[in-house]
Amino acid sequence: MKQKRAAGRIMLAIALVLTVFYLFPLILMLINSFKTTGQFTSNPFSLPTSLRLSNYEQALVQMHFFTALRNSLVLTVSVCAIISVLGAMAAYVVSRVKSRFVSVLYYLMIASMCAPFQAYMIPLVKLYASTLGFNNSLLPVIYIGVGLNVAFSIFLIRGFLNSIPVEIDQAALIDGCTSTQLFFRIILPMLTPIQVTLLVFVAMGIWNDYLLSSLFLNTQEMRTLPMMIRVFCAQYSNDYSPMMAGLVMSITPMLLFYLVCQKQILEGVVQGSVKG
Amino acid sequence: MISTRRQDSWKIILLFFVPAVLIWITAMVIPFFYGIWISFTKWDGIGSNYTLVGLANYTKLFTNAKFWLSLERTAWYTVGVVILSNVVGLSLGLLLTSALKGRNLFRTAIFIPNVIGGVAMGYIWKYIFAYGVTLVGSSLGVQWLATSMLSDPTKAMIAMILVSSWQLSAYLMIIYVAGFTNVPGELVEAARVDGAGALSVFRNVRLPMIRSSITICLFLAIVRSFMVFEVNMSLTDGGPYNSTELIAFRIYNTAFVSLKFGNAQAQAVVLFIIVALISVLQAYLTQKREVQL
Repeated sequence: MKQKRAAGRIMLAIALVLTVFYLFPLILMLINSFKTTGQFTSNPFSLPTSLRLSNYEQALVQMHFFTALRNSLVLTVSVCAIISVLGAMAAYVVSRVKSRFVSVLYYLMIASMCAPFQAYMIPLVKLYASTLGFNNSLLPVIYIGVGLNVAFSIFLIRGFLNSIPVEIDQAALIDGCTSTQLFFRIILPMLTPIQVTLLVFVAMGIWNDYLLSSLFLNTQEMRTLPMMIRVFCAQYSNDYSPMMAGLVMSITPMLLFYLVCQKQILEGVVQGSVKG
Repeated sequence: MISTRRQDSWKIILLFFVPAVLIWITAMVIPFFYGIWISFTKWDGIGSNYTLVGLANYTKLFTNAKFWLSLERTAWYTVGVVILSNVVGLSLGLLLTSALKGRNLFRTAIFIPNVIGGVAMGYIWKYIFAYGVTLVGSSLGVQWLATSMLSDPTKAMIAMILVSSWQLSAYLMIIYVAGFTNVPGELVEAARVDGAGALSVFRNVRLPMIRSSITICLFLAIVRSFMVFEVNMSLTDGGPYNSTELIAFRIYNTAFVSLKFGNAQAQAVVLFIIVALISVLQAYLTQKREVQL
């Protein structure tokens, strides 16, 4: 018994050390966001002598933080809203309607999930920016964001739908529901648990995306947070402290979101991993 | 099932399924095939002037040493990340499924690097390598670390592998935790009663039981490494002297910096083929195992 307790303590110590190892870059960033650049370059590990908030002020203005935050929010919320309805509708058909047309398309969509984004990155720019003229607009980013995530959402929701007994559908139909009513009034509300898992996972991907947004957005008014970080860090490449403050601010929204939805995010990681 | 009448099921397919399919086709399928066509053209710049050059982009690629070097680097990077992230991720998964106080809290905290996007992550580490690691190196008298790792080609690649594995191992940990949690407790108990030590239980009971998690994590790490972009851009920016420019970043640069779209698209098609082959191999291995079980 004693031996077991000692082993438990050692494991706890190891777990603590590892946690510090995984978090220390973020801790360092936070500490240094309150120091001057000189203090940072001479010793990044020293604690701040005072709570210097001027770094934050500077970053707020130079990063156009609130503009970027707004763009990121619009993009993420739009993609999630569209995906949740469109994906559920399509998944419902895949789960309930027996049709070769549907199942062939479904498996093609699943297969397409493994294609690297680079394979259609250039044509996307050519088609949506050059040909259709969507320049410097969030619209193509939202649309393509939906397109890239729709297969995954159908896959995830379909798995959940398959566990809902068909008898529920049949009972509703016998009671005189139309298929549309059945879906929107009865099925859709039942999907909430899987929708939450799906949406937090999709939201994380879209929020942190740099590549797709950078293809279509090119002015300061349109940039999303990851793009703003890139521009800010490249422009003020020698003034580290405001940069640290900017980084802290830019990751805070996602961090708060994670702390609230951690269960669903970790659930999404596991469910997303078995897609292959 | 919804309705016995054919007409009705077509109506619902059209109303509920086709919209999603249309978005998927216009955002993925059409661009994909259009991309293959672009790879047969010489198209440089924003205008619509292009010339059809057939397979020239591909033949040029095969004799382009820089392209091969970038692929080779990506392969080395992948080997490093796959091994490191899986060894660490599996160990973390094992540790955080054992009878440990507050293990959920540890899982939550350790996963945090994955919540932060690749761009921010790369910059944070860039500053740590430039000022933090060098300070540790010089105060401990370790010459190897005293100058910034990011200014030496080999060390910069090691830095890339370390940062990526640091992030990915925490991601894989969650999958391994799920795998270990699914191992029936009775099985482990039975082995213990039969006199198996901790190491033996791990090797002969737990490890075989999480084989599917291992397959998933290995392939996830391979595919992610082949497509790495953001960390590459923000941590090393491909430098020093292009020595860490991995394939996905190279495609981006060829297209949007050098404005050689046809050439870049040919590289993208090669990357697609590599990733597709890896995915097919994974599907094959997974299916084969299922048949065996």
